[in-house]
Amino acid sequence: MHVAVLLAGVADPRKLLPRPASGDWRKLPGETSVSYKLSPFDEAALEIALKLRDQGAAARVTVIVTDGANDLALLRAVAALKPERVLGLCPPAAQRGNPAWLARHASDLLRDGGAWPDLILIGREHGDLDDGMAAAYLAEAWRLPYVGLALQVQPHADGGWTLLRSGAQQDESLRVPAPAMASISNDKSNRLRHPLMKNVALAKQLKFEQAAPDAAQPAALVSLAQAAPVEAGARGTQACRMFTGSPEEQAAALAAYLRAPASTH
Amino acid sequence: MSHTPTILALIPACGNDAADRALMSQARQLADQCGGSAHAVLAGPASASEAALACARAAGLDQAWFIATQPDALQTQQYVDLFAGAFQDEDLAAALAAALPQALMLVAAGSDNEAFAGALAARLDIAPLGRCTSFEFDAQGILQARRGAYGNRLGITLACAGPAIAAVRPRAVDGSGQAATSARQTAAHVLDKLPAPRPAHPITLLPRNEPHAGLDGARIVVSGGRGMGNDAAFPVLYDIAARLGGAVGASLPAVDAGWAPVTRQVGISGKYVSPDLYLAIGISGTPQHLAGIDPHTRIVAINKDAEANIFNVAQAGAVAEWQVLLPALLEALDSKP
Repeated sequence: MHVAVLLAGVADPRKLLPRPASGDWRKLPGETSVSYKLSPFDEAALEIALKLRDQGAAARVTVIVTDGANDLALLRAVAALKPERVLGLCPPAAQRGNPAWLARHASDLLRDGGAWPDLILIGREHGDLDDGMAAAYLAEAWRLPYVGLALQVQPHADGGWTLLRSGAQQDESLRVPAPAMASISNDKSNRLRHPLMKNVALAKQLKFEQAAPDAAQPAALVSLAQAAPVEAGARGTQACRMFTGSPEEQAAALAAYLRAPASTH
Repeated sequence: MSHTPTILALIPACGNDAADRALMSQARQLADQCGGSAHAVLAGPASASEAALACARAAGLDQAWFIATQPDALQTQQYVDLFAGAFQDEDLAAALAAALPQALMLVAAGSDNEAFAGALAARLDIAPLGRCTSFEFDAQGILQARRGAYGNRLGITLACAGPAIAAVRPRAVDGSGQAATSARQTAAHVLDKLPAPRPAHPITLLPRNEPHAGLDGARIVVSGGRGMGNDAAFPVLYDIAARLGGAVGASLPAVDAGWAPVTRQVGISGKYVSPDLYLAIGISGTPQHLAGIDPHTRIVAINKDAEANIFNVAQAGAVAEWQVLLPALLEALDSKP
C-alpha cells in the first residue's frame, strides 16, 4: 500500500507576517522571508499516514510539500519523521492557492507508473490561501472517492478504507474503495509525533528533490488584486471594562454581567 | 463581455427554510447592487420542493430550479453530480446560456457546502474563491471578491473575470424586505430527468456521546483555550455553561490537545458562532480564533495575562487565574442575584 500526503506550509502563526520588501502585500505569497510551519491539519494528515505505516497498512509514505517547498527547515522537519520520500513542488507565486494548478502538477508526481496511491491525505485547509475548498477540488479533478474532515483512517483487508469523521449532527464512519482521498481535521488521536533526535540530525544532511513545474502553465483564473494586513475592526474600539478586586468580587461582578440582559451592557 | 452579472445561489440539501432564504436573499441583494439577475438551484427531497420554491419567490429571485432527490440527504460528491448535470440540462442551460460565462455561484458557508463548492468548481472548471465577505463587479464586469487569508491576518481581494463559486455567511432576513421583493415573478422549474448520481459510499452513523448543549444557536458560549493548561477545566466550563443556558466552545489548541471534541472548535477552521455573549477563558485572541466569532457578539475575557490580545477586543474581562476565578464564578452564579 502506498499512502501519499500533500502538505502546504503556512506562515508561522507565532510571528508577525513579514512585510514584503517592495511594501506590496500582494507579493507575500512569493516572499522568501516567510517562515513556514505545518498547520495542525497537515500535521494530523502526516501523523495518520505514519500510523498506517506503523500498523503495516502502508508500505511507504510519500510526502509532497507545495507552499513553502523552498523552506529547508520545513522540509527537514517533515523528513525527520522518516517518510520514505519527501518531494517539493513549489507553485509560482501567482498560482499559490490555485487548486487547478496543483491538480495538474501534482497528479504526475503522485502516480507511480500511472497508478494513484491507495490513499491521498491532505489537511482540511491547504496553505495560507485556502479555507477549505482545495481538497475537494483536487479529489474531484482526479476523480477519486473523497471524504472530508476525517479524523481517523482504518485499512481494510480488501484494500479499501474506513474513515471516521464528525458530521454536522453525528459521527460517521464511511467506507471507500482504494484509491481514495481524504481531508483531515485535527483531533487528539492524530496529534503529530515528535521526531527522534538522530532523525532530526540525519534530516539536516538530506538533499531534497524539487519537481520542476511545467513552464507552459495556463493563466490562473483568479489574481490577487489587493492585499493588506487586517486592522482591528469595530470590535475593540471601546475600552475593556475590567472587573477587579478579590476573586470573589470579580466573580460576583462577572456573574452579574453575564446574567444581565443584553440591553443593559 | 456582458456587464450584467448573474448571481446563482446553490443549495444542496435544502430544507432549512430560514438559511435557504437568507442565501437566496443575499443573491438577490448582490444582483440588485450590480444590476444583474439572481437565480437559485436547489436540491432536496420532492417533499421539500414547495417550501423551497416558496423561499425563492419570497427572496424575489428571477428563476429557481429544484432538483428532486431521494428522501435521505446525499453525500457531497453525489450533489456535485446532480448540480453538474443540472447545468447541462437543456432548459437550464438555455435559460442561462448567456449568463453562465460570468456567473457568480454562492453557497452558504460551512464545511460540507465548501467541499461541495470546491468539487463543483473542479467539475465545471470555474474558479473556487473560498469563503468571501463581500463582492463587487467593476466597470469591466470583473468580480472583486474580498476575504481573509493567512489565518485571517491578511485581507485580500481576488479579481476574477470568469465564472466563480464562493461561500458566504448568509445574513438573517427580516420581514421588511419581503414587500419589496414580492413584486417579482419567480419562474420555478423542477429538474426531474437528471442522470442519477454516483452511488453513495457505505456509511454508518455513530451515536455521539455528547450530553451537553451544542454550539449551534447558543445565546452564550463559554469557551476554553490553551491558557487553561489542561483538560481539568472543561468540566467546570460545562457547569458554567449549564448555569447560563449556554454551550461550551474551544480554541483550536484546546481541541488539538484533546480537551474538547472537534465539533466544539470555534475559529476560522472550526465553527462560526454568533451568541450574545462569548466568555473566553485562557484564550489569547488570535485572528484565527476571533474569525469564528460574529462581530456583533460581546466578548468577555478571563485570562491571567493582562497583555493578552483578547482584552483588546473584549467588552469586559478579568485578569485572573481560572483555577481561582471559575469556582468562585460558579458559586456566584448559584447564589441568588
